[in-house]
Amino acid sequence: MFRKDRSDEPIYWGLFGAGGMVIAIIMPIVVLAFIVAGFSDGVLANIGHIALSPLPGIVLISCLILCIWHCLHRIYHGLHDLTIHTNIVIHLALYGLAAFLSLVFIVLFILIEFNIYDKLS
Amino acid sequence: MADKMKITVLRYRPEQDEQPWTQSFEVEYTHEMSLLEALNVIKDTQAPELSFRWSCRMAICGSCGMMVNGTPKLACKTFLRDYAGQEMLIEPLANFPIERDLVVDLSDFIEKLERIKPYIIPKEDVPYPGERREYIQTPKQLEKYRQFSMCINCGICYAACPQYKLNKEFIGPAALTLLYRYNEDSRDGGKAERMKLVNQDSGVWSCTFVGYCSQVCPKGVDPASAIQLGKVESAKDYLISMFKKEQ
Repeated sequence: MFRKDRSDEPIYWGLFGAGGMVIAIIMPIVVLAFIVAGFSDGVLANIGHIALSPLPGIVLISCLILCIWHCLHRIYHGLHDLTIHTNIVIHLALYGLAAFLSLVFIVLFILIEFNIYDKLS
Repeated sequence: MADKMKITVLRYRPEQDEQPWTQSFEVEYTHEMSLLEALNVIKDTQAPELSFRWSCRMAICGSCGMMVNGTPKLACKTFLRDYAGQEMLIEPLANFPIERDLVVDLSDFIEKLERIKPYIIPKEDVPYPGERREYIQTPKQLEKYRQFSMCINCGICYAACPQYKLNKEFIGPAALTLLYRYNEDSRDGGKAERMKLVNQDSGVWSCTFVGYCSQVCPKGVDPASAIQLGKVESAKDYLISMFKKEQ
């Protein structure tokens, strides 16, 4: 990272691309599923339960993390388009935020998955 | 009866004008009159000192790029009939410094074109195949780069590119497209050299895939696609470099 001979964009572009696919293809289905679930009695709790079971949970968390990276990468380049030229501070702030939020998601997921959250409260 | 078109041209004569100004002309036109012909009529009959570049009149030479009502176009491929009932505002190609009237200074583009080595660099370790002294290329190998070789270096994609406008370090659409064209040529051996340019922030990574370059290209080349394919190549190169020490 921060190499002079080449850009470190491939990492962020890769996450951005993956996040874009998630937002375009998977997220509408997830949102729709939750809306439908919201209107039907008792199913919402069930969907929440399924979403937090290990395998679907990992998929969902991965999707959310990719969305975060996608959005913050878009903001990073959007700032440049708005003539707020990006520098190392903005770089660290935005991608740092993405990394931090990813970590928060993972920690929360582990807390819920291993019932640690219930035991604490 | 011929219709009349009001054509307003941005003028700038460095020895007497402090800044560019506009001058309007009226031209009678027929169905088949191109903007380039109209400018020549203006030059012949109304403003003999009006400067603009042109040569072939048939979208091959890439000399007559200019802004027509804000859109970069080749004057020889733009027809007055398509602007019937409107007025036309002709300005020099955007994102380049004006040299005189509609003539812009393309040095930056030319320098970038040279930098990407737009020619086949023979592979050193591959001898000429047999006695034929020629490289064989299959139609499939040709198809990998053919459309990108249609570029005529008119600079219209640079006038369209919002990223080039913001950052003149950006190698830009046409040069990156030609770079990709030579990298993908089965006879070429210069990929490693050119990838150093692709991998920079000023290489493919300055592009945000706006895609306007591909919309305005008068030759139907798709620079945006070449750059995105270049990003894939650069990302692969990045991964490989993590495990393999670079020379």
